[in-house]
Amino acid sequence: MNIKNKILLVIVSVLVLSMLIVSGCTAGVTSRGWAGGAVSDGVLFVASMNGKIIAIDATSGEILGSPVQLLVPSSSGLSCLPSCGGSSTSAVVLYSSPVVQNKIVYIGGTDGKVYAYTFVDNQLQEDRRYPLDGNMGASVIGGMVIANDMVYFSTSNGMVYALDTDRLYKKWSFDIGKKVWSGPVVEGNTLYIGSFDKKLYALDAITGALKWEYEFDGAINSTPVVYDGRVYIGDFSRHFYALDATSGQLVWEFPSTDKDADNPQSWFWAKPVVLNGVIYAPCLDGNVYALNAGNGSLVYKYVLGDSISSSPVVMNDSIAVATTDLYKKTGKVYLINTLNKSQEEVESFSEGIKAPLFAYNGVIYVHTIKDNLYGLNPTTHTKQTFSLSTVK
Amino acid sequence: MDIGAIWQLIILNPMINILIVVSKYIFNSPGLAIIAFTIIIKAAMYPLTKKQLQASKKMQDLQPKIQELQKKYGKDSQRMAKEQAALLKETGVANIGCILPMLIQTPIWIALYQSIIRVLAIAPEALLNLSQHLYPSWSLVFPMVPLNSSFLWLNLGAADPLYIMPILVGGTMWLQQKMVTPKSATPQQQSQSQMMLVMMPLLFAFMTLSFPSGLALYWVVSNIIGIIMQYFVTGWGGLSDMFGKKQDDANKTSKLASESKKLPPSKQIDSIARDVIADSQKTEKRKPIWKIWK
Repeated sequence: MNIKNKILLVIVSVLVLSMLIVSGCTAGVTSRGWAGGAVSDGVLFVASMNGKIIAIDATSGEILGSPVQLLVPSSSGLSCLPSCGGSSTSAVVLYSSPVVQNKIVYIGGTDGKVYAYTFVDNQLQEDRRYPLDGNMGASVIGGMVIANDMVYFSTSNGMVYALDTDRLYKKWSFDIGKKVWSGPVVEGNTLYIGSFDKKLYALDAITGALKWEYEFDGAINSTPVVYDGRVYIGDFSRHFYALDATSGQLVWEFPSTDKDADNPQSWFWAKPVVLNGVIYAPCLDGNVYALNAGNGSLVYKYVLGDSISSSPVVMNDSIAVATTDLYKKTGKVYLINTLNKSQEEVESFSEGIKAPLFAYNGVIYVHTIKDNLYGLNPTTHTKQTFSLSTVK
Repeated sequence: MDIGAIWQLIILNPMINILIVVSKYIFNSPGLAIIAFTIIIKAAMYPLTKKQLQASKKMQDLQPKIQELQKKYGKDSQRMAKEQAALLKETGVANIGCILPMLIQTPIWIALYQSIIRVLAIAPEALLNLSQHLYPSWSLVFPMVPLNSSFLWLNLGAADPLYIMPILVGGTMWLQQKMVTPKSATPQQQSQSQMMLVMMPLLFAFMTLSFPSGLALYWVVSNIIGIIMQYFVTGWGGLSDMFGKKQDDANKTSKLASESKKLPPSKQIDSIARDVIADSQKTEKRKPIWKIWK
């Protein structure tokens, strides 16, 4: 073999190696999921990053029964979507947190299916699934919500579904047409959902008919919140809005001018929360913007430093917020005291936090990107740890 | 600052932000933005590419002379290596000239791959990760994301389901390779050349089966521009036979080499080198590359 061929072979080897590295499982861009959890009757239902649904006794910390493993046939080739692995099946990647009603746990996966499991005698048992055969053709990324005896969710190909909670039959679907990663919220007979087409949609929750739509400047990933006749939502144009829930008219916009030093510097990604007439809007710029729900004026800016992609949770007069250093992949949990406008660091982790927080009985539950679930009690300063990836 | 941070600061962040901005001004089409981006990259790397093409041409021209050396010193590998190095030195052909543009392109491929999967929102983690790469002072990039992933029949964030892009990537790469592949005199070299000619296109076509089409689009456009550049610098090269033109360069240089046998070994190298330099100068004079940029 002459020199030229040898050199070319070396180049090819380097190229192949480098391309395989970047195509395989590139850190930070691989689909791994970040589902949160739900609590019902003292039992935590958590979705792990290896496709398991695990029931945990909130008081004792005991794992109840055997976890359910969601599997999907492995994709061929080098792609990491929906999951990495060389076996014939691989774990379903889960972004959507489980929701529970009447001891039935509902969850949607990136395999394009929604599952319902009944929790009987401390054991999850598969009840139903939608669709019965095949899949919906796209992943469930946003959260799910139960209302009006229906379970509502969206799929990433722009469909919004309402399924009957009893039989998991489709009641209606609505085609937005563009990618949707936002979760729906239902207030009365209206469902609100944002889309990457920069629009917020209000649908009739019973029939699925479009009531109104409003177009913003940026895409919407966040789940909206409804409070006192208004819908509140932030977008990728770094603005936060209040719309009239009935008419869809814009009420106010934050920031109202673009030259304020307090203006958001990144996207509104996580779901906001409302407490005592104030909207707390977490932003990827590391700040929580406390806005007057009535007029949109900035009440206070909580500077937490790192990105907030995990949806916060209200605990009495406080709000638990998780931050992640997206580069170092480390995380922190803060407790914001809304009465005296102070913030306290509850815990720091050597792992990022992207899953929505949830709380029960004074304990903040944190699902990290290393698939650990932590139960933090800010009052007693105690910490429970569950390694979800090792649960069998 | 670690290497990851430097990578982001110098390569990935500018590429992501520029890709978004270019996309905005070209009909909000990331597909057209990738094409424009490829042209910009190829233009920026033109001085290096020109050297590579010229070096390839010289290497092509040198093949008969290297064969002569092989015939002469084939049994003495040390001597052969020495004489070959002397020949390359004399003719000013640097192997690095061939490798450098390819090495420079590798990080561009990786950065483009990372940019595409982030800006097209292929995975939630990728989109979330994108937020830290956007320049806060460039207010227009924030609402632009995620970019529309549709282009022609393609979803730029996913592999081509019709398998057209793998064929285009493999085909254009084969054409480009064929243009630079020298004629081989011995069956052994012929088989080696054929292996190289087929291996690279097949490899890239295979990778295209699972890579986002946006990256495949970059490869196709890059290859087409490469073919055009190659034509203006070196002519059709190995493709001459396909177009019915007899390439007599090899015979000519072979003849010159055999004539130089009459000289002492050191003078033979000088003679060969002069011929090759003269040939390449003639080629450059005949086909000025700058014409394609007018």
